[in-house]
Amino acid sequence: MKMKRVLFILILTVFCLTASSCWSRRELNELAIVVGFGIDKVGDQYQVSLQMVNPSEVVTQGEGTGRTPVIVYKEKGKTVFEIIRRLTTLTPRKAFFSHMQIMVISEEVAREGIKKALDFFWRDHEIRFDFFIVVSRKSKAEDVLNVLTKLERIPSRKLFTSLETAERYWAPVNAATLDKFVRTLLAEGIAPTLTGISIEGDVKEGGERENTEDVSREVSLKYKGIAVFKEDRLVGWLNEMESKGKNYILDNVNSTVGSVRCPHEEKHFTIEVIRAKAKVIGKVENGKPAIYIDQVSEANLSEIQCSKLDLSQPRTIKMIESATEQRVKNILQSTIYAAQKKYKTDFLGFGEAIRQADPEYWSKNKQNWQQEFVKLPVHINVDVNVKHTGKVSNSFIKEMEDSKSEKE
Amino acid sequence: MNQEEKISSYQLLLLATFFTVGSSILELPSTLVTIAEQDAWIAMLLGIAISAIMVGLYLLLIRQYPGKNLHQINEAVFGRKIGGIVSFYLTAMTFFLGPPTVIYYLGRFLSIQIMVETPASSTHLLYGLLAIFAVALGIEVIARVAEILFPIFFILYLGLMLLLIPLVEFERLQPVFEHDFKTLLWASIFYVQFSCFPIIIMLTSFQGKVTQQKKAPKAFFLGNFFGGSILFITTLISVLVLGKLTALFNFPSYVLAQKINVGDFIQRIEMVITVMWFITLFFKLVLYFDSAVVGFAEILKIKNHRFLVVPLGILIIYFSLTNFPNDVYQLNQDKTTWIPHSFFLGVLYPIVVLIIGFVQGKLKEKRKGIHRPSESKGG
Amino acid sequence: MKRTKKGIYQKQILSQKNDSLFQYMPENIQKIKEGLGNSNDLLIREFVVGKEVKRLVAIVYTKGLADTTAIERTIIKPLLFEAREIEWFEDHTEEEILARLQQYISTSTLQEITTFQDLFSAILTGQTVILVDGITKGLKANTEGWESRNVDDPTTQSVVRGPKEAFTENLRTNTVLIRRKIKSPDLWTEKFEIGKETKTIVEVMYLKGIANDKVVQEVRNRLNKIQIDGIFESGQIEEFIQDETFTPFPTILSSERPDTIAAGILEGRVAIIVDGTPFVLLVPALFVQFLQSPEDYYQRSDFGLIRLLRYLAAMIGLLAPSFYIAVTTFHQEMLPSTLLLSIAAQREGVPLPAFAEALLMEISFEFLREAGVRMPRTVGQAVSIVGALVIGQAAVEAGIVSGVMVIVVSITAIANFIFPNFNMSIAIRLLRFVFMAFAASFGIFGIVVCFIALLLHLCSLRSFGVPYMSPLGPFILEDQKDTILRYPIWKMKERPRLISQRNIRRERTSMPKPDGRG
Repeated sequence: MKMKRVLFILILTVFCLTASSCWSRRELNELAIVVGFGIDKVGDQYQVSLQMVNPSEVVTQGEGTGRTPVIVYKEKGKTVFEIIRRLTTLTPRKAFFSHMQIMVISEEVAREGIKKALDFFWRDHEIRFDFFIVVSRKSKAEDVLNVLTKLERIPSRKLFTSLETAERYWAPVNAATLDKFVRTLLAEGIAPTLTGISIEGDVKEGGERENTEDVSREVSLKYKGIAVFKEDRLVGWLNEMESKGKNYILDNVNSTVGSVRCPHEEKHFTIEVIRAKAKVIGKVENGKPAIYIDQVSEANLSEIQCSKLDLSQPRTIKMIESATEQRVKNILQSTIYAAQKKYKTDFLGFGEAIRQADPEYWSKNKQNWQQEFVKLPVHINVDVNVKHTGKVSNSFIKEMEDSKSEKE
Repeated sequence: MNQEEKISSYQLLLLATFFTVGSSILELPSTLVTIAEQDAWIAMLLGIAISAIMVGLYLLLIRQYPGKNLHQINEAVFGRKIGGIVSFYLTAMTFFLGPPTVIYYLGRFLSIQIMVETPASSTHLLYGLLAIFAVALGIEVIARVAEILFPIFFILYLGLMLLLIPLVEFERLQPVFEHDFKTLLWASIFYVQFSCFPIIIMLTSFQGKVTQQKKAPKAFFLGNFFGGSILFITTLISVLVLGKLTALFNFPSYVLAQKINVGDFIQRIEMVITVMWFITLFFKLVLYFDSAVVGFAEILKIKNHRFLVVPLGILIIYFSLTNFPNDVYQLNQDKTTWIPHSFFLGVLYPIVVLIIGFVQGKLKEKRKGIHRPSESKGG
Repeated sequence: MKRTKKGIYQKQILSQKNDSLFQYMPENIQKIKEGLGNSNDLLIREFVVGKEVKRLVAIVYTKGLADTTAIERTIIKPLLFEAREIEWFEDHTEEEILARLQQYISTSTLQEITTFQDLFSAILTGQTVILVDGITKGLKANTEGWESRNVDDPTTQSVVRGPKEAFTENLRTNTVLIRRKIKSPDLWTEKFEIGKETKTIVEVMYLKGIANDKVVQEVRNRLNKIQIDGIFESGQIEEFIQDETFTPFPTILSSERPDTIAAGILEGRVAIIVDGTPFVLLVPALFVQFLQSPEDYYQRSDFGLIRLLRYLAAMIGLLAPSFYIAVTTFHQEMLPSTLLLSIAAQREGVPLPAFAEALLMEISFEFLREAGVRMPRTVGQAVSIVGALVIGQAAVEAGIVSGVMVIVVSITAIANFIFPNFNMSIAIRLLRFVFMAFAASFGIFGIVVCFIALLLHLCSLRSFGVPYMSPLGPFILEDQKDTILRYPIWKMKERPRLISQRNIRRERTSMPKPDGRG
C-alpha cells in the first residue's frame, strides 16, 4: 500500500519533469550575449545592429585565437522585434539581451522620435533596465558599435563604464537608463535628455583589429554634449557648458572640475567641486509662476596658475569664491537660456517644480505650459564655499614670481 | 493520521500573514498606482484599516458560534436545507474562483518573465501536484512548513527592502493627497478583495483546530495586519523608487529587485523576490484548497476528507488551464466577477449571519435564560 | 525442495531444543555433539568426583568464547582437587547433589538448567555447563571471555576537544562507558533478545523519571515485534523500529560516542545498545540533532556559529549543483556580466548540456568517494590521486567539462563532509540528484517546488511520536537556545520540550561572574 503510493509519486514526478521537456533551457554556449544595441534609419525602415560578445576571445588565460572580441550583426525591418528574430538567419546563436550595456540611437532616429522603437525594450522579459541610452552624434549607431576599444575588450562595456565614471567625476554627461528616460518622457513637467556620443578619427579604421594594437591610433569614442528632447524627438544639442549647467540644476553633480579666470590676470585657477546641492523651487505668486534655483557647492582649489593671489589671506579665498560663484551663475544662465529661448523645451523640470508647488495651478495651466515656460522668470542664487587648497597653500609659481620681483 | 489535527496560535498567525500577502506582493503595487498614482500608499493604509474592521467583524461572527465551521454556522443560522445550499454556494464559488486563479497567476508570471517557452500546462501541473501533496499531508504539516519558511521569507523581504533604500527619492510622493477619498477607496478595494474578504473562508475552516482557542482571534487579527504591513511597505517602496512607472509594469516588485545594485556585487537578485512570491503563493493556494476540501467534506458528510484531495486537486489544475483564455480576460474577471463574489462573501454574508444570529440569540435568551456553550480546553 | 529441507532441519533443531536433559551422561554428551554437528570448537571434559560414591561430572564449553584460564581456575581446579573429598550418598536427591557441587565452584553466577535449549544457548554465549551423571539437571557458570577490541578512538565522529573514547563491539563495555558518565540509580536498562539464531542481546537504557514513559513503552513494543533470524548491527534494528521507511532521512540517531549518547539520555532520550556493534541508537531523533556535534558544547564556540556554518554547508551540499544548472541554463540574467562571460568562455566547446555535465561529474565523484571508503587504506591514496587528475585536471583540459563545474562539484563535496553524522549526508547526497533533475527542467521554480515538497515531507515525519523538524516546525521558542545557535550553557536551563515533557529543568546556574564584582 505504502510502497504503491511512493511508486505513484515517483512516476508522477518523472512525468512532470519530462512534461516540461526543458523548453526554456538555453545552454550558455548556445547564447549570443548582446552587449550593444544600435538603431539606425535606412529609408523608411529601421536598421538594428547588435554587438555580440565572443566569450572565448574576451576571457582568455592563454593567447587568443586572433579573432575580434565582438561581432556586429545588422538587419533591416519594420519593427524592432521582427528584425531581432530575422537576425537569427545571420547569427549562429540566439541573441540574449539581459546583459546589454548600451543602446545607441542614431541622431536621425532621435530627431524623428524614438518612442516607437522603445516599446519592445519595455515589454520583452529579457531586457533589464540597467543599460545606458546614448545618441550617436553625426554618425550612424552602427558605426559607433563597430569601433574597437583599447583598454576594455568589449566596446559596449567600455562605453558603459566610462559613462558611469564620467557621470561621477565630470558633470557634463547624462547617464540615462531606460526607466529613467521613460519616466521623464511620461512626466508632464519635464523633458528627457540623453548623452551624445561621437567617433573621433576615421570611422572605417575603427573596426579594424589594429585599432586595438596601435598605441597612438586615434579612432576612439567620446561622449560629447547632451541631446535635448521635446517629447520623444531630439531638438538640439547642449554644449559642454550648458550640459554642466543642466546637471547643476537637476542636482546630478557629484563631483566636477571647472576653470575660472583669475581676477586681474589672464590666467586660470581650477576649482574642484566635491559636493553640490541644488534645489529648484517653484512658486506661484498672484497667479504668476516663478522659479527659484538655489545652488550650494563645496569646493577645493585644485590648481592655480595665478601669481598675484596670496592664498594665505582669507580675503583671497573670498575673492576666489565670488569669482567662482559668478562663473557658476553664468553656466546656469546659459543653460536656462538654452532651455527657454534656444530649444524651447523644459528639460530642466520647471513644470514639475511648479506642479509640486501648486497642483491646482498646474492642472489649469498645463495645456499652455509651453507658452508659460518660455517667459518664466528664473531667479538664481549661487553659493560656493572653498574648503581646502590642496597639499600646499601658495603655489610655487607665486614664489617664483615673488622672488623674481624681489630681484628686480 | 487518525489523530485530530491541531495547530497553534502562532502557526495560525503565520498562515494568516501568508494568506494576506498571497499573490499581492508582486502585483498589488501596480494596480494601486494605476488608480491612485503616488497616493497608492495611502490607499494601502486605508485598505489595512478596512480589513482590520472586517476581520474584527469575522471574529465577532466566530465568537457567536464558537468551535463551529462555515457549514455548521450556516446550518445553525439558515436551517439544514438552506444552510446547505448557502455553504455549498460559498465553498463552490470560492473553490472555482480562488485556487485556479492563484495557479494562473503563477503560470502567467512564469511564462511572461521567467520561462517563456515552457507551456503553462507543465508549470500548472507541477504546482498543482505540490498543492495536492501538501493538502494530503494535512494542515498540521502545512503549518509547520509555514513556521520554517516564514523566517526565510522575512529575512529575504527585509534584506530586499533595506537594499532598496538607497534608491528612494521622497519627491516621488509629492503631491500628497492629490486624489480624493473615493479614488483611494476604490484602490483599496483591490487590496481588500484578495487579502481580506476570502479570509472568512479560512477562518471558519480552522475553527476547532487551534489549540489555544483564546489566543486564536488575536493571532488572526495580527496575522492579517502583519501581512497588510508587508504589502504597505512594498507599495510605499515601489512608489518611492519607481514612482508612477509602477503602473506600467505587471510585476513592479520584480522590477524593483532588478534595480538593486550594491557595489556591483549584490546585483541581479530579482530571483529573490520570485522565490518569495512562490512561497506566499503556495500558502495562498494551499489554504484555499484545504478549506475547499474541508468544506466539501463537511457538506457531503464525508468523514475522511483526504479522499477528496486528489479529485479536487485535479479539478483545480484543469480549471487553472481552462478558466482563462488570456491575461486580459483574467484581469477583467478579477474586476467583474471576483469583486461581487468577494463582497458577497466578505461583507454581505457575515453581516446577515451576524444579524440573524443576534436575533436568534435574543429569542433563545428569552426562552431559556442565559445559556453558554462551554469553552473547549486549551492544550 | 529447498524449503522442505529447511523445514525438516528446523523441526529437528526444535525437537532437540525442547527436550529436557537425560539422566545417563553418555546420552547427554552424544546429544550435545549431534546438536552442534561435532563442531571442532566444542570442548567436553569428563572427570570423576567423589570420595566414596563417585560420580561422573562433565564440563562443556566452546573454545574461544569462554575464558579458558578462568575455567581452569574456578571450575576444573576445585573439582579436580577439592571436590575429590566430596561426600555423595546414593540416596541424595538431584537438588542435594547440585547444592554440594555448587559449594566448590567459584564463579560469580551459577544457575540451574534443565533443557537442552538452555544448555545450547549457554555454551554458545560462552558459558560453561556442568553436567552430573544420573541427574536431569545441570549448572551453567558465567565464564564468558572472548577476544574483543579495546576501547579506542572514535573513527567516524572525531572531535578536536572532547572525550576520545568510542563504543566497542562488546555490549557490556558499552553499558559501562555510559554508566561511568551517568552515575545515577535512575539509569535503568532493560534486556531484549532478538534474532532466532543469533540471539543478539539488545539493551534499552534510559533515565527513569526523565525519559517519556510513552516513548519507552513504544520502544519496548517495537523491539518486541521484531522477528528475524539474525541481527548483526544496530542498523538492522533501526530499520525495524523507525517510523517511516520511505524517507531518505534517518529518524534514529546512531553514534559511537558515549558522550553523545549520555547527553541524549540526560535530555530524556532512550538509548538502544546492540551487542556486536559500536553504534548505539538514540530515539527520538530530530533533524537538528544530525547537524550538531558534541564538540559544539565543549569548545567555547561563541554562540555556536560553527553550527550556522553547518546549516550553510547543508544548503550548499544540497543545492549548489542544481543552482548552477538553473542559473546557467535558465536564468543567465542573474549572473553579473563579467562572471557570465567567463563562465560562457569556459563552456565554449563543452559538448554536454550543463545538466549532463553536472550529472557526470557528481556521479564520478560519488564513485570516487565510495571507492575511497571501501578501499584498503594503502590504496586509498592512489584513488585520490587518480580522482584529482581525472575528474579535475584532465577532464577540463580535454574540454569535456568546464572548470566552473569542477569547482561547483568540489564545493558540494566538501560541504557534504561537514556533517557530523554520516546518515544525514547520505540523505543529502541522494536528494541532490533529485534537485538537479528539477533544476534542469524548471530552473529556480523547480528548485523552489522541490524544496517546499522536501519541507512538507520533513515536517510530516515523526520520530517516536515527536515531530521530526521540531523545534523549528513546530516552532518552540525556548528550544531555540540550542538549535541553530548554541547559547552559553548556563543559559540552557531546560531540557528540550517534546522529548521529556516532564522534569524539564536541568540545573540552576546563573551567569558566571568573577568574585567581588557582583
